[in-house]
Amino acid sequence: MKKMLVVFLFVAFSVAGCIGIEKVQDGENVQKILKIGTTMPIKADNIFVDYYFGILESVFNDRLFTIDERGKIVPELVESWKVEEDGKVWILSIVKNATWHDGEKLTAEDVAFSINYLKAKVPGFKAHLALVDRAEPIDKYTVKIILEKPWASFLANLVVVRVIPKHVWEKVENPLEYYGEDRNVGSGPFIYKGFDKTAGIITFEANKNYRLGKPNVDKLIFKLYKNTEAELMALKRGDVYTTYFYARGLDPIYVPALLADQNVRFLVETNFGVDNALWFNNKLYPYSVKEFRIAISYALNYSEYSKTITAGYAETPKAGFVPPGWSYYKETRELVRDLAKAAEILDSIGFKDFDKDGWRDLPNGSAFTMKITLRSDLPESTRLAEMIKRDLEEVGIRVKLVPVDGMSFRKIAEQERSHEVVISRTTMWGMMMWAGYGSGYVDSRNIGWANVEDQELHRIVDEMLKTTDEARVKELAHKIQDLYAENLYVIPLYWGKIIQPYRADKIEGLVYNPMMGILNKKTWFSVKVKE
Amino acid sequence: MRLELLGIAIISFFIFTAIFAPVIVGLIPHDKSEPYSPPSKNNLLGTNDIGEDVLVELIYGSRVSMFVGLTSAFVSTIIGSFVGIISGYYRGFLDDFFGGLIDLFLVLPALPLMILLAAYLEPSVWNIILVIALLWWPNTARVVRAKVLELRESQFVEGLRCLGANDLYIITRHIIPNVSDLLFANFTLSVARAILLEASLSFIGLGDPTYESWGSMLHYSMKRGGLLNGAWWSFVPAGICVSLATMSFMLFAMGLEDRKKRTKAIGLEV
Repeated sequence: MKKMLVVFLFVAFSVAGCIGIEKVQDGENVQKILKIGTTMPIKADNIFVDYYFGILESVFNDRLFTIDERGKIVPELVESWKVEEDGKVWILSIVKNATWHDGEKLTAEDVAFSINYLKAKVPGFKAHLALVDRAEPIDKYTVKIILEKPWASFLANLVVVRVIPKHVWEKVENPLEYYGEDRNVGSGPFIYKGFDKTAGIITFEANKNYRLGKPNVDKLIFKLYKNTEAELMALKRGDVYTTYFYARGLDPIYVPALLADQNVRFLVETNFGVDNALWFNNKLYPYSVKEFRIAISYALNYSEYSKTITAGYAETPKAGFVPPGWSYYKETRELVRDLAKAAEILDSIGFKDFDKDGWRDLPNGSAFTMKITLRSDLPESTRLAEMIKRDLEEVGIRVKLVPVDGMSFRKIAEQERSHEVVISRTTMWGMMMWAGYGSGYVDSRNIGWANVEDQELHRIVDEMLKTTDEARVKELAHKIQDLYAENLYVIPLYWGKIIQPYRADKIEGLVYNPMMGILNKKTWFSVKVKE
Repeated sequence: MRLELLGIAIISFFIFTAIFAPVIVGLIPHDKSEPYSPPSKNNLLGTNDIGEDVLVELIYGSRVSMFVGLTSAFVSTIIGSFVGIISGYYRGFLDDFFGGLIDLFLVLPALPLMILLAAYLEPSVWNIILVIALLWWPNTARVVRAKVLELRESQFVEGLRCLGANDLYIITRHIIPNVSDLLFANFTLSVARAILLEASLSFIGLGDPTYESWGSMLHYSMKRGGLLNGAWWSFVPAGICVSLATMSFMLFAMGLEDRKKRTKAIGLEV
């Protein structure tokens, strides 16, 4: 029995040792491996099934357009483009040296197929391509996209369109059920190698034939963690060299713990999204009353939210909602806490404590409770809600918090729009969609958490959707921010920073991108693994 | 006896704290400070992830834990004793029906089911009470049923029937008093379990986020960097309180059982 145990242990250690060596050595060359920790809950390696695996798609696939470090839309697979018929027809010339990982050439056929296929078969893309009538190849490297009506900001939608190989996907009837070996053939700098679900490891290898050259690292490994604590312990141990979560940096509450480790450094970047905001359902009374919303804005303690929720890595927001990183950002009035002013406005519009129970009632005398819906799966959101509740109660507004899970939240706020007030954040891309400047979240005709039907807002948005003239776009961008500031359809709670930790003793040269974070071309060609 | 007294002393302490929480909080320093500040003169047990006083949270947390523990144990004991008495006393179809129901609930994996229910229902203190009460009654029902089966065959119950006593009279005047010690012991054990369950549900984020409980203190500490920041004061006191409260009810129940055994041994039981 003992002998068997010794033999078993010997074999086990030998196998483990061999695996360890294989990871770092390839023949005589030591492989450069970049290990990234993530708490993104990836369950399946199909980009159409798993939202978070779809985020990693940018590692192994190129897109038509992308976002640069300053938040501008720049071409990736597209070489040049032109718009005809006032934004109704888009003609894209694509690069001629792109190839798929299986050696096939990437052509206009693939691009046209991708657009038509995504619109027809992948539910998540229907909204992005809602106004697309059809896409067709003109020649081998030129594709024509015909829209149902002009859409000036269509480029923002092309940023998220996945270009997939026609020769792989044309035979697939239901992409949500396809798990063929070639499902992750892409055209990007890395080649998908596999997902070990038991170990929680997703592996990519450098694409030596990539059109822009071979990336700096030979292998890219994503290690999945169930929680941030475990992920950051791994970072401190050096098991991973940096961390990643789409559109979100490190929760600032963890920064003090990491500051103590001299090997851990941070990239602190501008967040183009709004970290957290209070979204009123502007169709419902009393949230439809402008003065009421303004009174609420004076009751909130912005500096406290910034200090406690973000450990100071945020600034007090301005009433114009759109954060300062954006081009055509307009300085509007700063949001401040003034309880006397809040009380004065509430009194002036008839929200008084008629029954002397300590809570303000509606002007008709009936009791009023503000119901705030929040995501129970986001601890910072529940903490923030508790603080908002306390702040509003100080001016006599009774608040009921309604915690719901992520799926219910989307159902309530987006599909049913049955909410009164919600607490939620926006992503960078979310700020860009529809007519940009967060209009998709505000306008009742799009995602519409704020459910605004204001004719003035609709008029500005409609013009922004059509306008390609930069001077006019700037004018409209300023107008929409003024309108946000004046009406406070939504109250930003703080403008935070994106904090990206990394091990300075293991890697250098990470580049942050406002949309995809560190997963971008600049990183792949500038990152250096030190060991 | 000593165990029982120790249990009673700890329970009394927590109940006193829960009732007089606002008064006690008024007597201790509890300034709002930086997140995860260590214990100091201004914050005797330090601060949590949003700079609030941990001791104040602990004191208010005792309200939720005690309320959920006592209420859900009370409801589950009422349901369990009703089912147990009816089932054991009447037997026949009712016994088959309730017996099947008890067996069904007993084979269900309680904790996973509670997690599922708590996740499905809106997170609130009342839903937690409902979930614990609805899934914890079969334990009480089973032991009560066994005892009632024994009692219904006893000579004094037979005698009462012969004297023309109706079922309601026998149940309320003779059966219930004879199972009361069993019910009380089960009730105290149920409180301990309920406190632990509330803490477990809150810890995994299925509690009511609008009320501070010991479980939610642990939840926020774990989810918002308490461990990594070395802020032991944000989770150790809450853990100790959950353990102490659970232990105190257990000690009380054990003490009651010991007393019953002693009484039985000297032949004083009726």
